[in-house]
Amino acid sequence: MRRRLSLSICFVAAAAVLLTATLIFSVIYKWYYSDIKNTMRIKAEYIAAAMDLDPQGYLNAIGSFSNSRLTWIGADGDVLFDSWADAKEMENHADRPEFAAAVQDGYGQADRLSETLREQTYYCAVRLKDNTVIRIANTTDSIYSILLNNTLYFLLIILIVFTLAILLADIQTRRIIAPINAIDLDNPLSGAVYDELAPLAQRIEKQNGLIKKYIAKLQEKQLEFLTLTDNMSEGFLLLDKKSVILSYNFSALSILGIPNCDCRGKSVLILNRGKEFLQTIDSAQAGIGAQAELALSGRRYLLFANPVKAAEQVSGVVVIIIDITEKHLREALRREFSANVSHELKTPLTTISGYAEIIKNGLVKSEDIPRFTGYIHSESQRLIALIDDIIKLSWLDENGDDVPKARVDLLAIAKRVCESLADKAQKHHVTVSVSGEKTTVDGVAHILEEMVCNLCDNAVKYNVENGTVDVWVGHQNGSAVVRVADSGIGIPPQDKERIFERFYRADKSRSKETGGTGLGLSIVRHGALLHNARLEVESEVGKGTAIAVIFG
Amino acid sequence: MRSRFDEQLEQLNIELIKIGGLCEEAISTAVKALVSGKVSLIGNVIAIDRDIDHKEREIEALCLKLLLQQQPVASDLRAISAAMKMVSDMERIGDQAADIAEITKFATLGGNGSDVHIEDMAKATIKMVTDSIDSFVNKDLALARAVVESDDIVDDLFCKVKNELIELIGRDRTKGEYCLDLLMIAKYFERIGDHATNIAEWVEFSITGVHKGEKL
Repeated sequence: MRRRLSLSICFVAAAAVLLTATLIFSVIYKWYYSDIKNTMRIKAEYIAAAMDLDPQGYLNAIGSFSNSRLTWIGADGDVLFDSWADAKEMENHADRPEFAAAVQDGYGQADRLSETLREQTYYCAVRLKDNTVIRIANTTDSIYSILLNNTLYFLLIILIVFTLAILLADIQTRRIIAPINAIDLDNPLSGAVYDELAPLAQRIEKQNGLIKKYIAKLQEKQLEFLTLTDNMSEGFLLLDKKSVILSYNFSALSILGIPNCDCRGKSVLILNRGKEFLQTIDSAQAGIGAQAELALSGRRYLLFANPVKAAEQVSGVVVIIIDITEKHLREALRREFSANVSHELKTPLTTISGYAEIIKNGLVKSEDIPRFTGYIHSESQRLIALIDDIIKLSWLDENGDDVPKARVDLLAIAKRVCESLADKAQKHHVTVSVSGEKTTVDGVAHILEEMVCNLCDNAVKYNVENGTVDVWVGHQNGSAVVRVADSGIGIPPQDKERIFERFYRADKSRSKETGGTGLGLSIVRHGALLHNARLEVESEVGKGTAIAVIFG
Repeated sequence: MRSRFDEQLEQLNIELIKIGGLCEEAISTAVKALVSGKVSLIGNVIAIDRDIDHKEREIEALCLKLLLQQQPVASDLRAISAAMKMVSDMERIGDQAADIAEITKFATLGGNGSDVHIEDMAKATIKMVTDSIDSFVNKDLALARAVVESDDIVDDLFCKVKNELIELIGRDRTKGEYCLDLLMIAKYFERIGDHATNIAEWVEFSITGVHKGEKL
């Protein structure tokens, strides 16, 4: 803009200068020319007046030193005298326009350019009384010659004027542009602006408003998206088609082990360079969604990579990383459980089928049959107990949450359980005692009874000769507590965590001897979960175990 | 012009991270083969080593192309020359991982006094390799220096293993060959540690322009 403005100012200046110069020159030239004409006419008339008195005498006196050329022409056009040339040799002047005019009107004039155009000659002719004509001629430089002779001066003047014009144009342009540059685009209506720019300023103002609105909208969307992704526990990455990270959430970074990394705009390789990771992403970049399992710092993750397609072309990849450690562990537990269940179910059945086969083949003496059928009976009892427990457990697994609860007195339950265990306790030579106060909780009576029963049963089974089992019911720190303490064999510290797992037995060698299904404590744990209770185990090998159920 | 150059530099960076990932995989697979004795893993390590060799040549070609066509200066020149040095160290790591895998055909861990220390060496060298590549990926000067420091741990472990193996041969002459195999493995680990140190030093150079305390 500045350049253009400056150029046009220069152009206007140049045009003005040239035009003015030409006009002034022509006016001055015209004036100068008419001045010459007048002067010469007066001069010619003076000479004519003098010639009328004595033509030959005058010519002789003045003709040879006049600065103008003097020609005396006879009435027929023959030259009688010429101050610059020999009159006899000159041709007839009858056809000269000034002569013709003078003969006719008494006065005539004409001007002629020389052949080279450099000189202009002006002729002025006056008729004398004797009908001869006196003509004076004045030769001056022609207009072209004046121009040609002064070219250098003209060029110099033009140059100076031009330089000045350019300088002025530059200054002027700056002056015009400065306020435009100074417009505050955020607030175009403020400050002194040219009136002509007011509509533009208003439009800018309007556009500014729109842009602000759009930006606010976009920011809101972005914030929404960020809140969404940042608060999800799954890792999220958005990559472009060159696997450069466009967007990510915090979970993704902490899962991949670089929580404080501003990785936007960097290659996804800086997050992980493992083979599975790269292959999954490469596959997605090729247009086929893929998934893989990753093991990172002791946890397992499932990685999904899906292509983002725009018009059948992969334009990026969305990566989701899900923590499957828990699921993985649960699956492992479930596999272990089903393996255990089949094993536990198979053992008594093998025994039963073995004894039954022996009897069927008639290999048993008739007096031994009661003993064998006794084995079969006890094994099938064990099987039934086992299946019962499994059913209870799966019932607890299934209906964990929506069981109707009622106020239940824990002391009454403990007493009932101990009575029912009295026979068994006597058999093991163990004394069972119940103490404490009436304590009620919201719960499911038969599950609570099952829990206390399993705890007491274990306390009796894993006890020593003449041992004791103390059941205490009461409040501790404001929570209802049932504590079953025994003087039994105790649990080794490394097993404490695992005793609530299904089929886990601390003392593997005694499992057969003590009976039981290996599911008792598992049922206790599930029951506790159902009642929002926690379990506390204190145990010392050889001294005894105390397991407390503390209701939240 | 510059943007094309930047693109090529970024590609060099990506290729280096990839070859780094391959090195980590090669050595950890080799260690798995060593600990578990699974013969099937040996082939995997050798395949990875081939990939590494291939990538090394690719990266070298890319570096030379960059040097010739773009005539880089200052930090770009440092990055490219450091890359050229690093890939040769990485290629050596791949070779040595393959060598370890080869030896596991004849000798795996189990039933001798040096197991713990060789496993420690394996863990320490894997960590060094991972850290050196991490320091490159994240341009982490502190981590690069930590890798250089931790080379001493691997060297100490190597001495321990050596002494234990000498003792073992002294006790039981029939185990001579086995002990020598283990010594070779330990030596390879020690060499891998050295290469990881080199990588870390070049990372330091590409960041600071100082290599082993000398301004190059």
